[in-house]
Amino acid sequence: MLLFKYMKINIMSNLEYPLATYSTLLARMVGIILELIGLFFLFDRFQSLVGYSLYEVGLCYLIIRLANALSICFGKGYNSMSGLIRKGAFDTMLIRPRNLVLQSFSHALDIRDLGVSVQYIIMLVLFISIYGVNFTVMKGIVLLLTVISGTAIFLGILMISAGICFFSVKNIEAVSVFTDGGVKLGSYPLTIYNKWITRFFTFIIPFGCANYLPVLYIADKIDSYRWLYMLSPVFGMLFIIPCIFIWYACAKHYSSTGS
Amino acid sequence: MKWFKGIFKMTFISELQYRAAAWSGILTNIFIGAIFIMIYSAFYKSSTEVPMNFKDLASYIWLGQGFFLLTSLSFQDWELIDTVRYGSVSYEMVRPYELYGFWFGRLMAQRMAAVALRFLPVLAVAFLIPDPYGLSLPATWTGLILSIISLLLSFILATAISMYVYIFLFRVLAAWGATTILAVISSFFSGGIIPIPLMPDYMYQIVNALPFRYLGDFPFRVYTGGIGTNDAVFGILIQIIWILGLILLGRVLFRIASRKVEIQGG
Amino acid sequence: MIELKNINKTFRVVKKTSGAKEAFKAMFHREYKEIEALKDLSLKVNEGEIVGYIGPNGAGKSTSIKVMSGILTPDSGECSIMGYTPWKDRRRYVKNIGVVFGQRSQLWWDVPVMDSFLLLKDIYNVPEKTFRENVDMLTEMLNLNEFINQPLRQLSLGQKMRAEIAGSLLHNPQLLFLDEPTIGLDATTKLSVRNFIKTINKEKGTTIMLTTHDMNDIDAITDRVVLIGKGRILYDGSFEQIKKKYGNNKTLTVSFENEAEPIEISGAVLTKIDRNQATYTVDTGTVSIAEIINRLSEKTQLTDVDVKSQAIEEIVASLYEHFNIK
Repeated sequence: MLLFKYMKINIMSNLEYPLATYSTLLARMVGIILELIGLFFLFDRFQSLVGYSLYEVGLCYLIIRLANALSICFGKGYNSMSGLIRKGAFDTMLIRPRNLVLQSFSHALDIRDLGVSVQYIIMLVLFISIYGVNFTVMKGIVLLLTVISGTAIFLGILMISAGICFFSVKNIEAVSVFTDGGVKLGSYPLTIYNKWITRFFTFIIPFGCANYLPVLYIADKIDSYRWLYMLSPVFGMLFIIPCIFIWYACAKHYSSTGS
Repeated sequence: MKWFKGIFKMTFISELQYRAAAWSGILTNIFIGAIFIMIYSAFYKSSTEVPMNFKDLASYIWLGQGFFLLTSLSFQDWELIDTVRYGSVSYEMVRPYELYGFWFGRLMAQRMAAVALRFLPVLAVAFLIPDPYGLSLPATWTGLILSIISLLLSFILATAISMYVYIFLFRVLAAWGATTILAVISSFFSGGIIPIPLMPDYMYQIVNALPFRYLGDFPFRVYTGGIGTNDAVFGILIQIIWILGLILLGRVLFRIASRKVEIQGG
Repeated sequence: MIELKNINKTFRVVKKTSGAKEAFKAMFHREYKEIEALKDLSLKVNEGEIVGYIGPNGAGKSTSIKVMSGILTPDSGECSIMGYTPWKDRRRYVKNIGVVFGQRSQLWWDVPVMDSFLLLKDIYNVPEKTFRENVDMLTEMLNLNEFINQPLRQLSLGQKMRAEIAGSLLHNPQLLFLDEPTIGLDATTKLSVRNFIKTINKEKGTTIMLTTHDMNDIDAITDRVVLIGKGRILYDGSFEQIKKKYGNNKTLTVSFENEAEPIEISGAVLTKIDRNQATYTVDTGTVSIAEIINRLSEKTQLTDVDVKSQAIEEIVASLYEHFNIK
């Protein structure tokens, strides 16, 4: 498949700079560990977060960060769309007889981003094996769906921000409010916030579907309608569909304005 | 001092050019500040025995967001980094001034310009947020003055620390990762990840032994009154000692490192 | 092959500001101005032709190439290339064209050239056999052998350009756009690129649109030039004609035995005089060189005569001047 061939060539490019790759990975690992330590410190100080234990919060925390890392990994082309437009790489995509959405997805997979994702996966597995109770295969599947769902939501946001780039070539960093902000917000169960925030990030940008809804199921905190909580990640994934259309419409607009 | 003003103005203007970036930076700081406040207010509901009251914590967080670029060591001069990386630094070497001092001034001017543009909107919004969630007035006038002095010193301290990035770059051209590690460690030990008073007590000793807390944590707590006048004056003295020590050591290392580049021919 | 009819394209750009006060204002409000990049552009190119596309910077060359390669949609006008409208049938259309932008790379920077080619093979679905044949042919014609297994970033400018050109031809395009393919190249590479363009046109019948600032490219490759300025086509025709019309001035340098008074000759302008050497600019449209020499030798003893044609650059400069587009 062409997507994998694009990935292969990107990874080959990265491996031309092994030192930069390893040192960045090491740096990111230090960052990931220090931030996690911060979370442990808070639970050391406060014991619980309005009824949520370290296990539940830690799950939310690691899931959202893993999802964000994966979205940056696979959505690099969207993440750096303004650069692609400025450097003319998007023009090159336009002269290739291939779908633009897929070309952008596969544009610049970076092995360092992949490495960060792997680090989070390791953290998540370690965390569950230490703190997890009564973990089942079904819960594992829901967890996997949750991560995919979160990735899809972040990708959707990246696509919309990439779409805005077509109108203003300078990077629209306001969207980082939703990506960086989303990471910070989604690192904790959304129900701890003001109810309007909880609603907005459950029904408009469905971070809730990759956050407290499935986590409540995984942590055995749900008695009725369990299947609804189990399926919630699937609803979150739907978010990316309108985003794809919005991006496509913006890309169409680009060719009528140019650089 | 004329060139310092020049660079300050240039950076300020070019930051203004990227209005979208500046606005969204401000917006992100406000948004993230608000998220932190909400998270901590939820945590504070779960425990009453906390070494810092919530009102002070809120001010601490807002100051941290307002002066985000002051404390952030990931804020760097990419142009200068490229000069070192791609070897055109040899041109810099022949200029008729002391390179360490010039780069120091350049980096500090940039940091000040970037902060000057952003801190007011963030703090203004934070002031408008009602107690105990917003930014409160300083505890005492002396506290305010001392915290301003300490914040100004923070610019020098942050620049002195960030100079080590360039020293690193001279030696190991791919020291990019080291830069990031320094930024992360500095953020952690200056209270950027979680406020230092909320850390376990045993951490205080480690934090106190490092210079990073004087970038953010210290001036912020002088402002909220968490650190009293006497301790504040004493702390500022330690801050100055750190600055002098880091600059002296940095200059020596800078000279050794840059000499090496010359021999290699850049 | 190509038919453009009344293409119009206007861009909106931010007005540049200077000074702190202006920059601060721009934080809140920005002013725009409209630039008409293409005005009623009409052009017809037949199959197998090579068209040299010239004009000063900002004239609209790149914009029209972008329209023709499907990157830009014009505001109005019609465009039919091989029966496709580029911006409507993008994916089906671009299969049949190759594009080289001299100013930027389309191959992958950090991987060996051959790996880029292999990926392009998959992107364009080139059959194995065709691909092999093309790679062999292009390797031979463009001397890719010496660097095909090196990453692009390690190549010299000339090698890069040869690799880029080869990359744009792997899928046998019928139409090739070359946007400044000789920019920054040394003399030898320029020659080989020129020869290659001519050969590929002759052997494969590829239609080629070529933009360049180097008029020697045009001189060596093609006779049909299209001059564009301020978004309009100002001239479309033979390059020989241009040379005839704007290349009449010749420089005549004469040396004589003994020192002489400056000799004024009607029809020639004296531009420089030394002790025993004089330089004239002669407009051969009004007076012939032979005539001038005749008249000069009547007055003095000539020891040496040197006649130089105007450089092509100068011809084009006076052409631009004529159309008031410089």
